Amino acid sequence: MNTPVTFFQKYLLIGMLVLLMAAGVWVIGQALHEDDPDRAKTETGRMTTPPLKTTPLYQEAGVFQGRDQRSRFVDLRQAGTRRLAEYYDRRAYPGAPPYIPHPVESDMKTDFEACSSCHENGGFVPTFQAFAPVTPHAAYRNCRQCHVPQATETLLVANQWQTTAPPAIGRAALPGGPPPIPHGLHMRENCSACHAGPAAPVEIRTSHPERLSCRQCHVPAETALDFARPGEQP
Amino acid sequence: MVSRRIFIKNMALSSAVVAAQSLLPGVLFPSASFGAAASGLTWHKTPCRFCGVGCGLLVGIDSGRAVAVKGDPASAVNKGLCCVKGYHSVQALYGKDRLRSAQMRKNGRLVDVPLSEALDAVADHFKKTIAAHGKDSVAIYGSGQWTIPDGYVAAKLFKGCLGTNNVEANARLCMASAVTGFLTSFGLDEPMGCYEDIDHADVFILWGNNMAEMHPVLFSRLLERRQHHKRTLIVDLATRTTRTSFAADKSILFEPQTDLAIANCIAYQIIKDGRVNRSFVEKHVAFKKGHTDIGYGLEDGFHFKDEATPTDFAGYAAFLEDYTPEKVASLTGVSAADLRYLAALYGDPNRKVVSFWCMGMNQHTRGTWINNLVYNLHLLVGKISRPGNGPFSLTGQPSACGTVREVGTLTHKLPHGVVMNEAARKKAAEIWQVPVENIDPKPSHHTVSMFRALDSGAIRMMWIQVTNPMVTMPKLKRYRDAAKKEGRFIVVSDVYPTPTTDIADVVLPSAMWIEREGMYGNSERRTQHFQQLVEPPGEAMSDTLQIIEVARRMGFGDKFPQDPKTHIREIWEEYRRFHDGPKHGMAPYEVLLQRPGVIWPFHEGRETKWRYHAETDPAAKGSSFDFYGKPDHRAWIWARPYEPAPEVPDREYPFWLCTGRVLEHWHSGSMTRRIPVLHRAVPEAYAELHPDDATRLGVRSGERIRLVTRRGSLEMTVAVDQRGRPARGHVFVPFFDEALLINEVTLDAYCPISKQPDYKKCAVKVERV
Repeated sequence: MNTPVTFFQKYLLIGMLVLLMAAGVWVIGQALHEDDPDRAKTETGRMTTPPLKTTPLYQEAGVFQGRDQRSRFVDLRQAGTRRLAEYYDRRAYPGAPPYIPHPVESDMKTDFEACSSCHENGGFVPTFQAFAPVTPHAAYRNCRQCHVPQATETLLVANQWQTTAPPAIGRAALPGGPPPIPHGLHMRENCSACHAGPAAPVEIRTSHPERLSCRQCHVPAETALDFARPGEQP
Repeated sequence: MVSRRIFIKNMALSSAVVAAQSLLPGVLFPSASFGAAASGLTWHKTPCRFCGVGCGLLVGIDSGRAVAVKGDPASAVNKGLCCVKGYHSVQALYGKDRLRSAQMRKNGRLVDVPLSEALDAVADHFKKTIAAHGKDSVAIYGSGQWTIPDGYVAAKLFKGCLGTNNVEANARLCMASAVTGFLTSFGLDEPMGCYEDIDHADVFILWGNNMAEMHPVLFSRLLERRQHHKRTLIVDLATRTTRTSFAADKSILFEPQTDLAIANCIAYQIIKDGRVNRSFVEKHVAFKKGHTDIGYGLEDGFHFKDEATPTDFAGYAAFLEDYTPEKVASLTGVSAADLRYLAALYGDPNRKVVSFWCMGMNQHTRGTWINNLVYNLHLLVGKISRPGNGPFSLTGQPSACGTVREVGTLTHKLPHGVVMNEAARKKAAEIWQVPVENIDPKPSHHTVSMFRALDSGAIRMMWIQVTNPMVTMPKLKRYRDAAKKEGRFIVVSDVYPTPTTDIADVVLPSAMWIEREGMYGNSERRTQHFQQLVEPPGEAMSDTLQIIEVARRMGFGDKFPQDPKTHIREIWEEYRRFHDGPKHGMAPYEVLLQRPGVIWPFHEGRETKWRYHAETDPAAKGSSFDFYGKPDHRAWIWARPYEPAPEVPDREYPFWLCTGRVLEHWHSGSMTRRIPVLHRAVPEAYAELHPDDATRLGVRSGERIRLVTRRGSLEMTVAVDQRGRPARGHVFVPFFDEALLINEVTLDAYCPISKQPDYKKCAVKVERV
């Protein structure tokens, strides 16, 4: 049944439209504005040769990256059953991109939208009855460049590949102390992706997800050597 | 792609592991493959083994084995990111059937022999063949996967010592049109810009280039640029819908071969819109036309030589009158609006434009022309040789540029200049310390012609290194039969058994990639050095040393370094002498050791990132552009018409057949199919059809069809809407699968200027099996 539009409702509608348009103008303005500095940068910076990078910048870039993401997790204390052995089984070596262990929707796309719907923030996926692992590098958008599904189990020819054992767990210097980070941080700067939340392998799941600055206590082990004064043996 | 059954099986397997784990908490169960201890892991830089992007890798070495890979964050190419092939590349060293021993054919079977015996036999057979049939009866056929020292010693032995120009490489099948395109338009080979253009450009136009799969790491750089720079546009111009099309802002499909008309139409519209950069064109461009009725190289003994006739802007504009958007729209299937849109992108003075292409434009019976035509667009609007503006020809192989194009392992080339040029011959003879008469001033056979000569008997002995022509030659059966003819002697250096080693008389086991020292040169003129990091298996030996060993046995030992510890350095320093100077200077050995690659021209300690402009190129005269490759210091715009392909679909063979690659496999698959994760991802080739065609033929994905061309037939599985979607009336088949050799049915027509075959177009009939 149609209710006739009252005078008051008509004005309300018009008012809302005006507000919407204003908001639209603001958004567009922001977008244009956003664009400018970048453009100016390339214009002025285009002739200069950037200095040769000797030390990569990634070391500190992601320290706080996990913070926003963690607040988006369903529940950090929720516990899945994924184990570290399964985590490594999906990889040719510790640090290799894991293969895709489930059917994929489309093979014709780079798949960022499809993959990120589960793997950006994690959560329970009823289809697979499992918690989706979270990507530690959500900024990379061509997922299928590195992660491929497996159409068969058989091999054409056997491979005699061997790799190193994954890093041992719990290598704290002191009993109860914070263990150092045993792996490289490039593309794995977001600690909480693998160490917090329900899809984190149980062996490496943090007991204190509420702490926000992981690398205040956990530091990368950059060298196996001890300190030595110049010219002396450690 | 993963069937549900396999998935469930995988899940069951891993839950068994999980169950075992929960019995013994805290104990880590390493998988069987985790063998060595982690203690001695060290990381070493190397360029990736696979494509022409040339990513910097760090390979983890432990107890003498390669055990892990990470992207090198210090590499300006990939900035720490790799693709799935790169991450798993080191597994290609460890396939169970690696060739560890030399083999010789005895009573029809290949049997293991000591390497020294095989090398003796090769040298002996070279001497006998030359004595009986002349120096031009022997040939070497290498590849864009040859390291720079491999190609250098091959050219020196064959051109300098034996005196034959029968030196070719598979890059003829992959980059020759790019080379002739560069030479005809600019007089010098290889791109003017570098990958850093990506960080400055606003618009990327991809011409027949499925970059998301073929140059994935560079494509990720495009996507990253678009994320940070909102006005970035990626336009995919293609004949097939691919991952690149889906990721692009706009996908435009066109009829095969009509890219020629599209490019001319864009030029027409740029002129009509008044977008020509007049001062640039007046100062820096010359106009030329060439022959138009040039054939397709299908006949044995085919010969063609192009000639440049001068014309002017008015003449060029009049030539373009045939290419109005309305006329071109009906030919190409691209709407007039889209054609005008493309012209607007190229013509907009406020947008920086980079064009990318690879095999779509190069494997083309008018490959040189279409390369010229895309250069024309950049030249008309002056968008070239400046950061973010430029045409960029991508390469497929890790050293197609470094070895084949720079060292010059093509019949007409020398490391500097061409054999036809007396000064170039003198320079080569001086550096090689051979009599100048040794170097034949007449080019002999390009690749297709070389295999035809094997058929006719003009060539009797061929040494094939790092390539698999018995998978990759077009119209394959003819050339396989030729190689198997009585009185032919084929030597194959490779790392695994392949269809090419199957037809060999001698097989030499090669040390691959990081099992030896070497250098590759990538698409952006970057030379990258790698050290030997692991021992080769069995008696495997680098291709460089194999050639030196044979040269020594033939009496040319004094021309080549003999010390296995220093020979690569000695070869590099000798080779560098060819390129001395600001136009092509190469970095010293010590600099290559330190850096993750160095872009040439490397002059007075500095890389030249953008050539042909005085601000960035020390070889450029004046204060702005200087196209010094040409004697008139101008870049040449060529009037090149549209011409149809030699074989087009008809009533009997109604489909187009296009062949190509997939992300997971490298070329003929002999390495990547031995890498577990890659083989499992794409275990066999398939034929892609458009869904409407599949419905009309009554076939679904997974069912069988027969592809029939005038050359032969092949049965395959259908794939509808899986990796790609061909246009209606098209079939696409990847060529990596040696059990499903699509090249049995392809056509060996080639570009008459570049002599590069067209693997992308022939007519095929599709039958339901």
